[in-house]
Amino acid sequence: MVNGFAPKTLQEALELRAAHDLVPYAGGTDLMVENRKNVSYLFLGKLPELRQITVDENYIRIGAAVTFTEALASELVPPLMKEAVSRIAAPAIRNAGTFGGNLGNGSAKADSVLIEFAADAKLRLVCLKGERLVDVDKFYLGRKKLDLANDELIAEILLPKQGLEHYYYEKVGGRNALAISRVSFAGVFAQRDGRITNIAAAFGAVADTVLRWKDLEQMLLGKTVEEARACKEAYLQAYADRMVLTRGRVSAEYRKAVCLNLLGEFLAKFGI
Amino acid sequence: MDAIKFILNGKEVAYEGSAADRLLDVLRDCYNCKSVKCGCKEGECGACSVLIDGTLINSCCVAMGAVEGASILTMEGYRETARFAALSRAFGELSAVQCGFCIPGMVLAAESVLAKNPHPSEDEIREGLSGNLCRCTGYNAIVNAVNNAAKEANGLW
Amino acid sequence: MPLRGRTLIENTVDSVLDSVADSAVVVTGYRADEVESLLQGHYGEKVLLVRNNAYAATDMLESIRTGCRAMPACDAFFLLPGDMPVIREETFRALLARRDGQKRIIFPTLEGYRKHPPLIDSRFIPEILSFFSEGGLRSLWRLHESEIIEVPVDDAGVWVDLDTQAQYKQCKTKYESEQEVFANMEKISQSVVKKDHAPKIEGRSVYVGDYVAAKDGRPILTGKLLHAKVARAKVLSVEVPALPEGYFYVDAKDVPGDNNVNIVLDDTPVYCRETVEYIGEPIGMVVGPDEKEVQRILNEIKVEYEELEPVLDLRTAKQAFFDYEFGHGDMEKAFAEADKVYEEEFETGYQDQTYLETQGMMAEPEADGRMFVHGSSQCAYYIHGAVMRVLGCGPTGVHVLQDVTGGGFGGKEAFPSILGSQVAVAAHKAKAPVRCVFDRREDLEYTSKRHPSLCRYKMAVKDGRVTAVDCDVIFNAGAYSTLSAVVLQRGIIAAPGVYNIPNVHVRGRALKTNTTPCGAYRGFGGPQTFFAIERMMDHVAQDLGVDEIAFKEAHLVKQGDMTSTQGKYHFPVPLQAMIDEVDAKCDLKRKHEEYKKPQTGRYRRGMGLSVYFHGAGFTGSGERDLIKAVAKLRKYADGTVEVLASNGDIGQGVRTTFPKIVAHELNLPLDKVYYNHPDTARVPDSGPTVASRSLMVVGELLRRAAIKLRTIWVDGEEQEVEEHFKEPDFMIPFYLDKFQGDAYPTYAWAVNAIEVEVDTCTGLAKVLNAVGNFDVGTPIDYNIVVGQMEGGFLQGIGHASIEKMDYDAKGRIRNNSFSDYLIPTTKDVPNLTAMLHVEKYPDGPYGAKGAGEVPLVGATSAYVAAIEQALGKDKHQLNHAPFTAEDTMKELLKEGN
Repeated sequence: MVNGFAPKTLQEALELRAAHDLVPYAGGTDLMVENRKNVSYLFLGKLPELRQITVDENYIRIGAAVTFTEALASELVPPLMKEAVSRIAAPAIRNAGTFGGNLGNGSAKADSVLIEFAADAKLRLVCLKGERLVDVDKFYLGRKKLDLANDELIAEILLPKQGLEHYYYEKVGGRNALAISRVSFAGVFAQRDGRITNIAAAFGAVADTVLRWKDLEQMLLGKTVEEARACKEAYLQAYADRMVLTRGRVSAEYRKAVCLNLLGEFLAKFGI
Repeated sequence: MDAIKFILNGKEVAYEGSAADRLLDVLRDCYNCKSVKCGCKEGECGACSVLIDGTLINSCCVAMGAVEGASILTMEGYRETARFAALSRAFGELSAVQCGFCIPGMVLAAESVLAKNPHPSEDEIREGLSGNLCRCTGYNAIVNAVNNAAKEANGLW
Repeated sequence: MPLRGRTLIENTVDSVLDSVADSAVVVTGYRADEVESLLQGHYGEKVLLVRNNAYAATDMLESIRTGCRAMPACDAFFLLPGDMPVIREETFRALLARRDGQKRIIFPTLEGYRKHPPLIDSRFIPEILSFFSEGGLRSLWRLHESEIIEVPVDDAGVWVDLDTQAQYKQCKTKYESEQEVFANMEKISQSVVKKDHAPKIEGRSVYVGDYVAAKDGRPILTGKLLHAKVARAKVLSVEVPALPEGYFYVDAKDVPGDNNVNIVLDDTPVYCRETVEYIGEPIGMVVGPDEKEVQRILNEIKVEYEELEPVLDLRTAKQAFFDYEFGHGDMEKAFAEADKVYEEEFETGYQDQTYLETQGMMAEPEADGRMFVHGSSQCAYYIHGAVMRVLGCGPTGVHVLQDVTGGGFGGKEAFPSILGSQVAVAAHKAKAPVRCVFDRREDLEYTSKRHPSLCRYKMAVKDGRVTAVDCDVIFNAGAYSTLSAVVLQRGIIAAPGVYNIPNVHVRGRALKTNTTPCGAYRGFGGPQTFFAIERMMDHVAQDLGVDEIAFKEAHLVKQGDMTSTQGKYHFPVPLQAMIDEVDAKCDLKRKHEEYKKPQTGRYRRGMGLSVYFHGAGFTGSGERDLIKAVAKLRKYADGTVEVLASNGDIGQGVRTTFPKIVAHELNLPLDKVYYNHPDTARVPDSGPTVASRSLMVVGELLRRAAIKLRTIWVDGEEQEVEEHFKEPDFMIPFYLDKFQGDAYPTYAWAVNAIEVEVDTCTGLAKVLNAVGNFDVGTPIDYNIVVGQMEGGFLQGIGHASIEKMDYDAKGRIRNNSFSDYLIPTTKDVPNLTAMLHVEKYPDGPYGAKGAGEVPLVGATSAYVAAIEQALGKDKHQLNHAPFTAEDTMKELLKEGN
């Protein structure tokens, strides 16, 4: 075909990627809106290696070309991810949009990426020379800047198999469907033997990348819920101090107020 | 270079143009599928919805290279079916068509809802049509029409 | 008194028998024979009938005792008055579920009040039989307080007892299905399948973008506009790259006639003059066979500007395109004598029509030298007049066809005259068919939209009544005047709202700014001023410590009252009845009262009301002096009849309703009468498709024409009849220079209630319920009219909430895509109800009045009132729209929450 390649296997795709200047194309829902001129696409949407959802000992592995609709129908995908994905745009977009594309577009508004931040997901990146695993927060270098080499493709998203059962999720969009996130929040909570073992809090659509501050989470880790409650105010204040948000379709002030409110709701949901 | 082969409304076709071309434009300009409307070119209105291998897709968000081997149904093909007749009757009885610009896409979205779930609730219908903007009706008549079509379908879906 | 096709008592008995009870004891009294025979016949042995013969002289307790005496052996019974017909099954079940073997009395409660029907253990029967005290059973229960269980239920049916006719009517509206309403309506109102249903749903209708070739088979050239990139500048030069053969650059120099588009004034150029006045102003057009090549050329054109300081702030803008003033009474005296004077400022924002089909026009030079212009439009003759002037030709040098049009809402009233002129000039130069279809971004940024407004109101109150209102209304007209004159006129005439205020002064100005010219949008100035007056009335009521709804009710105008322009409300004003109907439908008043209580949780609720009108048809004497509508019917030899008029079907259904009227009068099947899209070469000028006038004015002309045709009908012959507009006799002549007289012959009336739930964490508001009650006279087609009401109402809620559009410091509209300008989806207001209240207008066909615009006008004020109540009126006075989640959050932050 002209201005495009439709490889049959991942190996073939990687060879093409290495040999030509191609834009990886999975679902097309972001790329076609960008409407780049004089571009050649590498069509990845049908590669069997990228279209599976599997599970191994530690991870739920979602192929980069799995669509949001397919994830919603899968029993393997955790409820937190499903909840976020179900709020993306509308059915026709979810039918085409993919997990890999959501990452590759590099936007902090990507609803599935927020969950990946909150869940400490890893990404499996592949190229002809081999593959590497990268933490999702390391993958994002800045606004629209990704740790993805010109010969690399995103192959899989690895979500931890356990630990995502207790969560709090909210998406604030401009309307109830077909809405790009204006603020989104995902929190994951876990405790063992009465002590908090995880209190991940991720904020989407409020800065150049999804935000998560693991050092602030330390304030509550290892504490009992009662102890955490005692330092809730300091914790919220620390987040307030840290948050320097950008403006977009809504103001930075609005974003901050909502982020802090939702963070408070997250704590409250788990008794803090 | 190989042409891009796909099935359009049941007929095999081969597209010789660029793989980066937009399916919406190609359907309208090369295959005269004028029922496929352009409302925004950014996946935000649903007027250009088509069914690709039975799945509802905004044709403005598809590059031609992605449809190699696919089967595409537009209103030009769907209107020949009994399911269409049932939906058309239901829309007609409630005067659910006003300016008509969103309607071919809307009806294909309705087909997509019913194909997956022949007895949807009102909420499920509203969810299924949520990517298709209509500025005229306020949606009640459309949602009710889809509901009526489902009830009177007699096993069509 | 029927309800849902049965008597009330049958409804009541059904409600228990269908749900939980094995049998019912019915105590009769008044007209006992009739009731008994009815129930006997219907229920047989399931109902035990006993009579309280002394019903007229005894109280309800005696009837209860009569029933208890006849009660068959049972464990417990429900006590249910016969006039409570709509209690839900869940309520009965919820009460039964609380029986715990302790032999109690179980009451349903709603909002904390004990209501019928209590479930009473039968051990109380002897006590009831021997209880003779003042105060009825209530005093007996007082002795057993500890044995009473309360079960909160979510069933408005426990409030509904039908002691009066009014309560009955309300209940009927609320609980009867639409089909039942339908069965009772007039024949002309009964719905038909729309004439254009099949081609539209099948995707066969040809919109302007769908033509593959011109009428004569020639290929169509694509035209794309060169838009100005700065808000105000002298255009020093335009450098066009070398054009390939077959490509053209078109600008003002190519205009053969006058480079001004005729709208109200003629200040809008076809292509810009020496200066550009807003970002997006058309400088020229590139035309050619290949769209991509046209785009390339366009990108390479270099425009040199000498930038001038633009006027962007409405508050400091000085140049008034229009400045009107009127009033009556003695303002000075009223304000001097007032107990209290209130002042407030209100703002509303842009709203884009967002028809799903963008603007598009096409021009084809014909072999005989005429220019054929067609496209997506509302007013074929407006375009005809504009193109004539631009091409410098006579009326026969041009003809204009309305193509199938994908929505208008006012946006295709004047704008197609501009775009139509531009493509006509291009086609004239290229000597070939030219089409220009806007993309969505162009359409959102550069086409006319609703005027942003700034209204300053001053109100005098004495003895609890509003004695005077002084309204200063400012509309942001944008860079050219287009339709601002008439939009402003309608807006300021509505400025004092639907209230009887003895002293009124209004000033209205449309100010120039260097922004996209604003124009017509459904409601046409009304949404802006009704927002101001409705919010003002709410706020004054709050300050006076009276209920907002009651305050509005106390001031409503009635038939015979004077209008703001010293005309008269000639016909009944049904607003109070309409408020009552809305109240019955959605518990407006109770909820409004309930939500006044302080709310502290994350989710808080509010209920807002708006009451308003929309003047039917053109403002003032426009219909009589300017439009002078003519409509024709042509009967062909085969007995079919064609409607000849110039009103375009833009989705509102005139291709169906016009023929319906004609077929009705001629007693023909509907398929014998048809109405094609108008072509000015074939149809008379029956006026534009605007101002909610088509059906009321032109529909009436067609009705009269049909009667005429009926009287002269000869089988087998071709015959034609014609009707001309005649102003109704009752009108008080309107003088625009003084704003005096009847601005409108009649009014469409409306009441909106909107209930919201605000999430204080995010500022998002959910519309729990939106009820609009609209009086547009007789619906000429029930489904079509309800469709108009629902669609318009949702647009109004969009304007109130999520449809935010604004320009930046450079004058550029930022919300220029569908991801930045949000209109409601299927999921935003699922609980939207349109009700019809019919107050017939004798001079409209079968009693029909203007309908198209009224549903949009009042949503902003009702919505913002609801948000204000949810946030707490003591702390928040909201006076702008749209009111977004971000605005809500700002209010909450003020509160220090």
